[in-house]
Order: sequence, then C-alpha cells, then structure tokens
Amino acid sequence: MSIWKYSNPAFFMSLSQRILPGITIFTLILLLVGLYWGFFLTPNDYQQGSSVKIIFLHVPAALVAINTWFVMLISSLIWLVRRHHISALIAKAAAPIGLIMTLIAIITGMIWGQQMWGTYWAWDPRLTSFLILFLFYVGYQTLWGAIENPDTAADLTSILCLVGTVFAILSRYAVNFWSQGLHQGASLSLDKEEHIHDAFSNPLYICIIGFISLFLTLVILRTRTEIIKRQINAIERRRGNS
Amino acid sequence: MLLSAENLTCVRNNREILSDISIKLNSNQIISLYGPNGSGKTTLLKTLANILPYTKGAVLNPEREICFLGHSNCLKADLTVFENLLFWNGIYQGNQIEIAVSLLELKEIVDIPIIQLSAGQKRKVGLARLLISKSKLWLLDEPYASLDQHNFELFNKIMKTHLLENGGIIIATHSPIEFENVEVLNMSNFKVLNNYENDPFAGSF
Amino acid sequence: MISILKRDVLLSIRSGTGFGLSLSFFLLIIIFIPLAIGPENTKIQSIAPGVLWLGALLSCLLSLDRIFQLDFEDGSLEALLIAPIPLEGIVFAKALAHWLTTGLAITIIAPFIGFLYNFNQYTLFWIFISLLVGTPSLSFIGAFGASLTIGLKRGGLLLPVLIMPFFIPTLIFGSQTVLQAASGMQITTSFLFTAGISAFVITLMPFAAATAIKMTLK
Repeated sequence: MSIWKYSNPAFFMSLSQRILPGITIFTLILLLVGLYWGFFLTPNDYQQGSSVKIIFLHVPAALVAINTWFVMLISSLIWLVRRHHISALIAKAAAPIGLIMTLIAIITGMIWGQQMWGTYWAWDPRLTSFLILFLFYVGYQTLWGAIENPDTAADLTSILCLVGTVFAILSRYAVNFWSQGLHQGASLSLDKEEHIHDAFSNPLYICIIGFISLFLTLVILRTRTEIIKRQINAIERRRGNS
Repeated sequence: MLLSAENLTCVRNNREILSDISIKLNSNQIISLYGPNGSGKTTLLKTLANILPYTKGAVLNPEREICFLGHSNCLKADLTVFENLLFWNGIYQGNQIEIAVSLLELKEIVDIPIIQLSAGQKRKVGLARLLISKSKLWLLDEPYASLDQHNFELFNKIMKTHLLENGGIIIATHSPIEFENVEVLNMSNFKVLNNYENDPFAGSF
Repeated sequence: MISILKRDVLLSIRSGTGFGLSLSFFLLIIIFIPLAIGPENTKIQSIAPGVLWLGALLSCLLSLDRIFQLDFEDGSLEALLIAPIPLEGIVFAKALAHWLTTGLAITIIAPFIGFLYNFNQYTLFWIFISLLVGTPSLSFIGAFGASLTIGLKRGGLLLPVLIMPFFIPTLIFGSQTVLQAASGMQITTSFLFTAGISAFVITLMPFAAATAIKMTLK
C-alpha cells in the first residue's frame, strides 16, 4: 500500500488517535526538560547575562515558524496535484500554528533586543523578515476564512501559498538589501550564534526538537478538528436533503 | 460530428449530480434538455462547454469552438450596444457585427448604452454574441428569457438558419421547441440519487 | 487581446475610476504625508522618494478589485474562458490596461512632483525610470490578487491585506533606486532587481491568475 492511504479521513482519524497521546507526552517531556535545563541549569553568559536564555524560546519558535510555511507549501502542492482532502486540511491547520510561532519569535526577539541593546524594536533584517512572514500568514488565513466552498478555498489558498513562497523568499533578500544599504553590516543582528556558550547547545537542541514535536502535536490535533468539522457538514447536508 | 459525451459525470459544488450521460451532436441537429429547475441542465451545458470540470467519462469536441449563452448577457452596462458587440467581435476575430445587428433587428438601439435598454432588448444583444462568435456549436441556457413573441420567432428563425449552415444546438428551455427532429434528453434519467458516498467526509466516523 | 485592453481602459474611464482617480489619490498621499510629519524641509526631502513610491503603490490598489469583478458579474468571464484567446492572454491584457490607467499615469506626473522637491535631473530621471519599470509589477501582482478574490462580497478589503506583502520586494528595490540616485550612489543593483522582478512577475502572474480564475469558476 502506498503512502496515499493516509489520505483517507477515517484512516487519518484512527491513526492520529493512536499517535496523539504518545506524541503529546513526548512533547511535554522534551519541552519541560529543555526549558528547565536551559533557563535554570545553564550558567549566565558573562557578557549577556541571563537575558540571552530567551533564545531557548526564540530560536525554536523561529525555526518552526519558517518550517511551518514549508509544510503548508508541500501540503498545498499535494492538494493541487492529487486532491487529497487531508493535505488541504493539514495546510489549513498548520497556518495558525505558524502564525503564533512567528509572533513568539518576534516578541522574544524584541525582548532579547531590549535587554541587549536597550531598544524593543529595530528594523534589522531578521525581525523585519519575521514581520513580513507574519503578514503572509495573516493573508493566507484570511483567504481561507473568506471563501465559502471548502474545496475552492483549498484551491485558492494553495495557489496563494505557492506564489507567496516565492515572494516571501524574495522579500528576505530584499529586506537584507534594504537594511544593509543604509548601515554598514547588521548592527542589531540576532544571528550571532558565536556568542552562545557551548553549554547552551544541548538544551537548545532539546528545545528545538521539543518545539517541532509541539508543532506536530498541534497540527494533528487541529487537523482532526478540521476533519470533524467537515464530517458534521456532511451530516447536516444529508439531513437537510432527506 | 460536433460534440460527443460518453458516460459523463457532472459535478456542481464539488458534488456529483449527474451520471452516465451520453450525447452525440452532429451538424444540423438540435438537442433539447428537458427537466425541472435544479435538474442540472445548466451544469450539463457548462460541463459540455468546458467551463466546469467532470469527474468521469469523456467529452469530445473536434470543432473546439463553442459559444455558450447562459442566463447572463455578458454585457457591460456603461458601454453602448455597438461597443459591446465590437468587443466580442475583437475577441472572436470576426466581422459579423452588421449581420448580427440586422438579423436581430438591433439597428435602432445600436448606439444606446446597455443600461438604458429593456430586459428583452438586452437579451437580444446577448444573443448577438452567438452570431458574432462564428461558432458552429451553440449551447443555450434559456435563450428565450425576456423575449416577446416577435423576438421569440425571430430567434427561432436564426436558429433554423444556423442549423442549415451545418451548425448544432443544445438547448435548455421551458418554452416549446418549434423544430422537427428534436432529440429530447430527459434530465431525470441521469440524476445521481445518493451522492453522499462520494463525499470523502461522509460516514467516516 | 487588444480588444480587451481597449475596452477595459474605456470602461475605467467611463466609470470614473481611471486616470483621474489614481492621480488624485496619488496627490492626496503626496500631500498628506508631509502634513502628518511636519514641514521641516530636510525631513521631507529625505523621505520624498519613498513617499512617491508609496503613493504609486497605494493608488494601484484602488481599482484592482474591478479587474475581474465586472466580467465575473455579467458572465463575461465564463465566455472569455472558452473564447479563442487563452485565459493567460486575457489576464495579461487586463493587467496591462490597469497599469495604463494607474502606474503609467503616476509615472508620468511623478517627475513633476519630484521637481517640486528640488531633486536634481539625475534623480528625476531615475524617479521616472524606476516607476516606469516597477509599476507594471504592481499591476500584475495586483491582478493575481484580484483573481483570488473574485466574487467575494468583502473582497474589496481583503484584497489589499492579501496582496501588499507581495509588493514589498518591488517597493524596496524601486524606492532604493531613487534614494540611491538622490544621494549620488550607484543604482545598478536596485534598478536591475526592480526590472528583474517586473519581468518575472509579468511573465508568470498571468498563469497563476488564470489558474485561480478557473478554480473560482468551477
């Protein structure tokens, strides 16, 4: 049997029901261990104090924020090519998670910036790019909500995601150009990972995997909700017609 | 052969509503679709016109040029009759404006903006698009709507001429068809009764 | 295809949403931004190139939702779908018509406005060229956005929200071209990117938009 058997809603529901408890516990353990270790068991960095520990939230959130979009991209492609409803619902389910993660990345980035350089906001390439990614998520979700027919909504949002990916990547380069054109080098870059103490890397990896696991848990949960919504619609239609 | 459909399944709003339709339309032939409102006549016409997709079967259209006339007249209210016809003339790359105007008796209103016309006059201008399109195959959805008796007969004459010039027509209408040898397709023969099985989300608890 | 071009331009002029509306809105933005930030000449001078570009961008948004809406409402879009011309060509012609009544008009008067800001000739030249080359991408991206929101009742407000992030690369490179010209710096990179984005957008957006239209008409 091919992987496409997973595209059957009933199959997805039963499979996800079996996986969900396990992956939820896995997520909780990873997050608890990673965050506790990162925040309380690592030494304070001699020049950045304890505030740098916000990276245990910032970096994983940023990674998930970006990769969620790619998950949506692939799901959208699968919908356009093979029209598996589950794919479309996965994309729809993932979007709000990506949006929240982007927001977390921005806010934690702002907090870090405030501690380090005394200012909450700076138009540096990283923060600005995340702001733009946020806008793309908002647009995508708004379009889902605006179209009545669910299959047409899946179609149009898939196209939006495809074209949007191109422009999101283009914007990243444009913003880099925009910011370096005015200043020499990124003055407030949050990219500098050389500053990070070696002791941080292990809890950081745990947090990253924890966040990815969190993403998977939430996507599975939300996709199940979307499937149930469609099933209710089907029942209502049947009842309305008979 | 102008159009043929084999074991066609039509969908509306992503649900299958008609199945197993087989039609063959030759030159000089007219087929009429018979059925109550909501029986899928418009859906079938649009599917044959290549506007709507179909899930099963095949549609063969060797002529590749179809003119579909639906409930709307495809006219811009701010433009005059002539400007609208000029537009469609440019799209279909024809030179049939004068013929269309004279056959449909539009000469007096040719420079009047659409917004000032009556419903019947607008319908006639909508019908003019058929003549401008040079298409052999006409798919008509309630073409007689808003037409008075005189224009009803006028359009019948135009249809007869079209058939004699090796055209073909598939028409959905509640009005009586005054042609001989009309093949009638009863839509109730093709209705999909229980289309819930096709919904992937139905019954999958 | 020319028929579509001519008719769409004619329609927008007749309905009052053509040149006049775009230019008026553009002027409004040019006037309002200085009003909002205070009359210090140096401040205004330094942001003027960005203001010109922003004005062009926002004016472009105005008549975007009309591109396909009218034809959708009167059934023409379906007829055009099965007409001898490919749908991509139809989208191309419509986007071009939109550009003629918005982007091009603004491109022509922008140097005169720049003149009032005391920009030198070199800068004025690049204001004109960057807008000339960059505004088509706004119309074509806009047409793509319009194709996603056909037939939606609240489509008018949704369209700007959807499409403005897509304008960002063009906005950045276009306004950078002018800013760099104004400070005497090299404009090659910015300009090439502006032109490149436009070329890319003009070739590919019609296909994306045509796909979206077919999905909506289903």
